[in-house]
Formats: sequence, C-alpha cells, structure tokens
Amino acid sequence: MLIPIDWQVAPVKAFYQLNTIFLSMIMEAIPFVLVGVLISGIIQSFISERWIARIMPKNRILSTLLGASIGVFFPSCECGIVPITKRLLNKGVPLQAGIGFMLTGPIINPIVLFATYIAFGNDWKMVFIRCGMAFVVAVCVSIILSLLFPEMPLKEYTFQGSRRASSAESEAGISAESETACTIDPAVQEEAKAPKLPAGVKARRILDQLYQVCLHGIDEFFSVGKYLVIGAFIAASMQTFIPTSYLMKLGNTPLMASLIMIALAFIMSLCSEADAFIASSFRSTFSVGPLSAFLVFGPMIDIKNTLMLLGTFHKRFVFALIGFVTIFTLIGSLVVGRLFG
Amino acid sequence: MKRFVIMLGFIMMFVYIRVEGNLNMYINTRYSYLSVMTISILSLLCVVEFIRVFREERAEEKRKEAKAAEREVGEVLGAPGLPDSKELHNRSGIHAELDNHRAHHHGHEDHAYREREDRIAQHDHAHDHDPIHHSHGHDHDHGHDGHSHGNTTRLQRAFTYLILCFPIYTGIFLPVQTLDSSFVKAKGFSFPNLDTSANNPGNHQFLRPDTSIFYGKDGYDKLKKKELTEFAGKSEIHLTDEDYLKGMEVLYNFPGEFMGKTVSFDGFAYKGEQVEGNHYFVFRFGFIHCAADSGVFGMLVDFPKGTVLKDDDWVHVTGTLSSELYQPFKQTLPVLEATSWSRMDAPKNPYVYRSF
Repeated sequence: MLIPIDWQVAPVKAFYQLNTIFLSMIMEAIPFVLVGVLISGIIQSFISERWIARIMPKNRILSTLLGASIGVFFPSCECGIVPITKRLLNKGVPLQAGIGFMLTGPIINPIVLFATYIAFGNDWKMVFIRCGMAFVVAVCVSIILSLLFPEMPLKEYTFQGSRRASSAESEAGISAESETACTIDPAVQEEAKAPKLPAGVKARRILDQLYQVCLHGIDEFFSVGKYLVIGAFIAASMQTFIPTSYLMKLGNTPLMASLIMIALAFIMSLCSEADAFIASSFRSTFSVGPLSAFLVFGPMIDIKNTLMLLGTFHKRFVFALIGFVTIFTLIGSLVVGRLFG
Repeated sequence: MKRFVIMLGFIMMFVYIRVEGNLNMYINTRYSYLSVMTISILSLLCVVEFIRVFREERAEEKRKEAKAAEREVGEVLGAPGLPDSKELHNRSGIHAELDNHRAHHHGHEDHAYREREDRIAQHDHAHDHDPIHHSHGHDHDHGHDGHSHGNTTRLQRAFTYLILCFPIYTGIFLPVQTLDSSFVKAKGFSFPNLDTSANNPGNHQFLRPDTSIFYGKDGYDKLKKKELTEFAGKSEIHLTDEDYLKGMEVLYNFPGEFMGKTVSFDGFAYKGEQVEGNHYFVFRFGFIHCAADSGVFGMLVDFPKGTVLKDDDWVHVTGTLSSELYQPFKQTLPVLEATSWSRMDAPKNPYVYRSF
C-alpha cells in the first residue's frame, strides 16, 4: 500500500532532507573557514619567515611539542585549520610542528573544551582525557610523519629558503647575504623603512597589507571551498542513507567498539564544538574508551577535512596521516579504556 | 569577476534564509551570530575582490599605453652602439616573461611589479636585477596559490565555480524539508537497539544507571541540584518548546523523582516496528548546533486502547509518568500513561533547541 507513494515521493523528500543537512553543515562551517582563510592571509602578510625560524626550535621533538601546543591560541575548527596550516608550512614551519598544530588545534582550544565539559555533565574528567589523548596522538603522528616525509608533501610548496637551498640551479655569484636579503618578508622590509616615512604613507601601507590579506583570503577560500562543499555533501548523504544503528550492533569488544566510534566520527563529520554532545549521548552504548576515540578522531579526520587535505597535500601523505591517526587513536582509546573504564 | 558573483551569491543565500525566517530550520538560532559573521566577512571580501578587478582593468589599460609608448622609444633607441643595450635586452626579456605569466593567470599585481622592475632596472646593474626579479616571481606565485598554472586549470576552475554554486542554488531554490519520522527511519534508528535513545542525552542515565564514572561526586550533586530544582518542585510538568530538551533530560536522569507525576508535552507520533498495541513514541527533533547533529528526543507513550495514530501525527499528550520493562529493549523505560491527548497541527517550527 505504501510502496507506490514511497517510489514517487520518498526519494525527493529524502533528497530535500539531505539538502537541509548539507546546507546546515555548510552554514556552520563557512564562517570558520572564512576566519581560517583570513588568519592564513594575516600569517602570509604579517609573519616573517625569519621570525618563525627564530622561535621554532631546531629539535624535532621540541618543535612538535610547540606546534601541538599553539592550538590553544587559535580557536579554530577542523575546516578552518587546513588553510592556516598550509600557510604556516609555506612560511617555513617544519612539517612535524605544522601537523601537530593541525591535529590538536580543533581540540585543544577553550571553546571546544568548555563544550566538552558541559556535555559530559559538568565534569572535567572527560575534558582531560580528550585533551591529553589528542596531544599524545598528535605528537606521535607528527613525529612519525616527519620522519617518513623528509620532503614537504604540500602540493604547492613555495617556501623560498628551502627551495633555494635545494634547487641545484641556484644562481651563481650571489653571496649569502644577498640571498637572505631576498627572502626577507616584505613586511620586514617595510618595518625597516617605516621610521623614515610620514604617518600617512605608513597608514597607506598597512591598508595595502590588509588588502593583500583579503586577497589571499579570497584565493584560499576558493581553493578550499569546493572541498568543503563536496565533503559536506558526502557527509550529509551518509547521514541520510546509511543507517548508523547497524554499525552499533557490531561494537561488542573494546577494539570493535573503538573502531566503530572512529568510523562514526569520520562519517558524521561533526563540528568539534558539537561532537561532545553527540558523544555523551552514546554513553549508554559505549564506555569511556570508545567515546574518547570518537572525541579525538572526529576533529582530526573526517569526510569534510579529508577532502580539504587531499586538495592541499599529496595523496600518499593524506593516507599515511589518516592511517597513523587511526592507529594511535585506537591504541590511545584502548589504554584510556583500561585506565578509566 | 566570477569570484565576486559567487561570493555575492553566498551572501544572498545567507540573507535570503535569514529574511525568510528559515534560519532555525538549519541551525540553532543561538548560533545565528555565525551567519552574521559570514555575511560581514563575505561582504568585505566582495568589496576587496571588486577593487582587485577594478585595479586589474586599470592596470591593463595602463600597460597597453606603456607598451605602445615603449615600442616608440625602442625604435628610437634601437640604434647600435648604445651602452645600455644589454640592460634593454634584459628588460624586454622580463616583459616577455611577465606576459607569459599573464597568459596563465590574470596577474593583478603585474603592473606594480613592472613599475618596480623598471625602477630597479634604471638604477641598478643588470646582474643584481636577476635575483630580485626572482624573489618577486615567488611573491607572485604566493598571490595565486588558489589557481594553479597551465591550461587544464581552466576546466578545473570552472568545476570549482560550479561546485560552489551548488549550495547557493539549493539554498535559495529548493524548499526546506523539515526532518520528520521518515528521517528517523533514514537515520536507521531501529527500535530493537537503543538507538532512538542513542541520540538522546537523557536516556543513558536511566538505561544504564551506573554512569557515575562520568561524574565526579561533586559535579553530579551540583548538576542534580541545579536541574532538579527547576522541575522537581512542580507537581505537574508541562514541557514547552523552550524547556523541552532540558526537561526530558531531567526526567530521564532522575526518573525516580518524577514517578506518578503529571507530565505533558507535544511531539509527533512514531510507531516503531517493535512497539506493540497502543504504544507510540512521541518525539521531537532537537538541535544542538545544526540539523547535522540533530536527534530525536521524546518518550514512549501508552495511549488509551483503540488509539490509531500515523507516523508524523502531531499530538499533545498529558499523562502520568511510570516505567515498565520494555521487552524490545529488554530494559526498563519511562513510559507516559496518557490520561488525555489531542491531535494538533504540526507547529510552525517543529524543532526544539538546546540552550546551554
């Protein structure tokens, strides 16, 4: 009796519902992407390679730790952070620090941690578990990846220092000084000249730099935007057509339960501010271990940002990244399950 | 210009959805500031993009003029034995390269660079010129990370624009579809599992009460006090749109406190396959942030004998809270024994939102 109606109406309705989910994802992600691309533009225009080289520890582990910690100051979500990371890497930030930042940024920031605190019944325990596990996973993954990929796996790598050093046809007859002089960021040159200039010219320069920030932002928005749209569409389709309940039936052992929560986090592609509430609703089904897997994996990797990553990094690197994040999240969640479950 | 149009399109979509009052169909309006933020940032970028296009066009004109003028000069200076001929050669080489760049992507900064190049060429020796030019070349690349080079990108760029137009089109022209019982099914919340309740932050406490591991003793007590005092004092609990989610959470968290009390709320009926007789679930979709993280929140209701409801029939139910061992779940669930109920029209806004 219902079948004829289903055939005609249901697919259209399902598509409209899919579209509603899709648009809500877009509407929630775009503001963060816009902020992300503007920050990326600001980094491009106002932060010099030299400054980064000065503050960045040479030691691999120290630089990873630094990278994994600065997320505290960038309240960003997983969509906005990809363009920022790309820009930082292009400014000479070493791979391990950049990836450390990219992985922890969406988790270790005040807004997300506060949301987690609220979602889990005003308790700090889950906040600490989430925070600590994310940090450890990010540090391990970053160090391993930096060892596996000595060459920057960016699709477009424009950091001049390394390119010049590596390029065999570096121009003969240029002294070391002139080379550094060339690589100085325009902002630094401007700074050096600034005292001589009248205030009006100085203001004009800053205005011009802000104009450049916006131009970079636009470029970045268009290079990242399409991945966001495709990713959100796939995630919305998954939510509409894949009955997530079938997954839950499989979660008998701790390992399977963690794997299922990782799969759910990937498919649902939730914003890292909202995912704690969803995680807390799974408390009846899963224990602390699998929940921590969900809370740590989701902000690091999901459908939306996988596509963005594929647009920014080489394929091999993205798959390695996803693989290692999965492995370490699994291990981490099993350990957490043992300690706190 | 296409970029300008697309960004304008996004602004229009956001404004349209706000003006139509449909924002709450997509996101929790507590987060409406996000859409304001989007509109303002995009407007700024639109203005900048417009300036860029304008400047580019002006630069194009100037360059044409300059080129024409240069050709004249070149003809005059073309005489042999000129000391600067090497430099001149160098300069024309750069122009050729710049033209090349332009062919690939409409370089808006070309003009500025060329001016600088010219200045440098006039003052400096030709040897110094080269590395500096090189570094400018890099800067130039920076500015155009967005679109890479080569002929294939024409297609790629068209593809990008097409994809970005898609949400603008669906946002403005496709109707908003509210989530209803069919989406409960689509999401696969079948009832033998706990999955209907899986998206309900309230259920867990009742279904598996030993969740004290999640709460420090103090935190648990504090929470209990804060939320309980809001509802426990009342003998009758009428859940409104505003306190629906909070109320449900409390009812599920502390069912013991509310047994035998009168509870009333609105929702749509949902007949799970396993629900027997006159048992229906009465649900509402609740948003945490947006439609993507929404879930169903509600309660199993024991309607009077002979009640026939279809999925998505909206009802107002009043009843006494009790609990029963619910076989399909093999667990004790809170159940509302309906004392009275009435059909109602679907509310204009079927959703309830989480307030923090």
